[in-house]
Amino acid sequence: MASSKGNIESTKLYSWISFFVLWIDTIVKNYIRVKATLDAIVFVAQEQPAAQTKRQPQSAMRRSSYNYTSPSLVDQLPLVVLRRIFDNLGNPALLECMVVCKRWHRLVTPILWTHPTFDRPNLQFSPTPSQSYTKQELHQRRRCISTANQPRPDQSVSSPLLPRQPQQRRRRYQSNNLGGDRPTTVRRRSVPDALAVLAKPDYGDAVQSLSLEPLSGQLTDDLLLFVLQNCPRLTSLNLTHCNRITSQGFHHLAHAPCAPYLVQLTLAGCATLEDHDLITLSASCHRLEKINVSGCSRITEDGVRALVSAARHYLRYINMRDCLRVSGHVLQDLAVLCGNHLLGVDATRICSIVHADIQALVHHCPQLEQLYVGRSRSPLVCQLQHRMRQDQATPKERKQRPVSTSMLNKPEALASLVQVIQQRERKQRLRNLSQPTASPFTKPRDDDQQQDVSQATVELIIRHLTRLKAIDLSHWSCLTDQLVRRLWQHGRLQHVGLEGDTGPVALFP
Amino acid sequence: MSVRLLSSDSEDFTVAKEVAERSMLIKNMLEDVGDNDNPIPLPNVTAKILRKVIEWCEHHLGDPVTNDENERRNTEIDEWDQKFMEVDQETLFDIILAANYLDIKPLLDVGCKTVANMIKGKTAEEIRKIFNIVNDLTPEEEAQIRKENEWAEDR
Repeated sequence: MASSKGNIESTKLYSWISFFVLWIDTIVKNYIRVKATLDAIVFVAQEQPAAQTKRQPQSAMRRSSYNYTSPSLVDQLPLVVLRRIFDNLGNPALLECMVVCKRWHRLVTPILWTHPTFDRPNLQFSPTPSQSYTKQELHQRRRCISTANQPRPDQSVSSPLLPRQPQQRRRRYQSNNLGGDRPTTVRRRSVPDALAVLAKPDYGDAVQSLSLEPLSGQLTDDLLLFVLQNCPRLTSLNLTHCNRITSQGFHHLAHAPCAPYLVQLTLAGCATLEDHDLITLSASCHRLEKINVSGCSRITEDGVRALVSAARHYLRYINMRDCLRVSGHVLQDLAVLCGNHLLGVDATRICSIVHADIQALVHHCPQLEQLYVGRSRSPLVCQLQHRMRQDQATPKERKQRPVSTSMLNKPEALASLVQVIQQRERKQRLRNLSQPTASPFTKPRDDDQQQDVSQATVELIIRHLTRLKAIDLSHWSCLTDQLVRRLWQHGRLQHVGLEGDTGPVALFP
Repeated sequence: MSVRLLSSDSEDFTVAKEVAERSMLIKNMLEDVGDNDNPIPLPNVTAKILRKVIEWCEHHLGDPVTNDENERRNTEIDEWDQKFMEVDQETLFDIILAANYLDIKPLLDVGCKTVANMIKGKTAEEIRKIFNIVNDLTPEEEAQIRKENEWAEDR
């Protein structure tokens, strides 16, 4: 009996256990089912808008035969048309459009951020960390964007314009050059709010042309690096008067993802720019069409030649105004390297331009539309520059110079002397010095290669450069009334500058 | 020399060839087909809109064709076009769509500029009201966008 009783008890226990297990099983099953359903609902709800916008262009095309069911007619316009509408709007209007709705925000952002301006830069540094973006945040955003954008037709608006893949380039640049999370995390505190916004891929990726001139006082190498990392589609960069950029900064620029695609580079007034920086840049900037290095007093023709030679297939305009150490010989290099497609040269007040330079330009670059080769007001400076160039050209003869001019044998000393004289000239108008007879260097050498510009040079220009629209021959002593008259009668000329600084400063379109 | 056009609601229009050729779509079609008496079907354009478009093309027959994007963008709408575009929003958008479909760039420009002029100088709220757009941005998002794009503000 006892055994049967034990048996009954064990079966009871067993049934209890199986009962519990069954319950647990049911609960777990139900939980899984409910969770799956919920997930599915969430997933479908997220997919819906994307799917809707995807169908939109087709329905918009056929819309005229439909009855209108959508609340907004504008939303049914094809994206190409919407973009055309936004293209007609100025920045303030675009800003208003941006906050109309999400779709418009997506559409307008790339248009507004193509050419951002920081005329009134917000140079404050944000105290709250939420304003800046950590690397994780950025990464997350990027992932969201890349997945979200794919099915949307919006992409079709931007993709033909932007064939490159900025995300990829951005990432590659970061991993190649900077290693790890240095860019976005370390630097955030040193980035003013105006630029910090660029860290958002929506904005940074859209930027195509950027002028950092208003920030020139604050722009350090690190800031430049930050900008370059975040604007992988830059094609035009203006660093006018950014004197705090060192060789390191130019190194960053040369290795930036945008460097091979840069079309326009303005380094005007960058006092720190040196030849080796230009040589670094020449390693990657192959597509430059417009180069502006005006007022960079440290560079010489070697640096300019390197950069020009890298971009020789694309270069259209080059501005070397007031580059005191660049010898006129660079014009010959330019002519040979760029040839037919060179459209504008500004070599105002560079170091000595001679007949042979202009001759080379005239022969190799018949398409020239703008030629600015004015000289310094003071004949003494011109002669000094001429002498300096001769010195550079014929280093052997230096020893034969009298001792009194030994200081002038060093090109650097001469360059600074030229600067000093120019400054004094401006202040005091040293009339006695400005007369050629008072100068100790009266006779330029009679050398075919070094022959000074003459009436024959102007004749050459008039005869061969038929497309010229603007010319500046300020302070060319060889000019006569008759020549000027002939210049004026020249086919397309709209501007003839003979007065030095009165010519147009903004040279290139 | 004239061309027959057939609107989506099967109305037949006969227009001079030069007028029809303002539309690049029709011009290309004519080049492909050659001389042919059959009407060209335009399934995306109703008779009402086609009439308007033809009216515009006839008025602008002698206009020089400018290919320069910037020049086209910077010219203002002339008086006749302004009058022409004084229509209800639905018709305006239909004209724009037709111009886009028929590939008549100058008419498309006029249409887009007209819409742009409706937007200019308005606040976001006014724009939403004009075009009947639902705001799906939260106030926080809107404030954030405004802050980030402060530089674009009028000053």
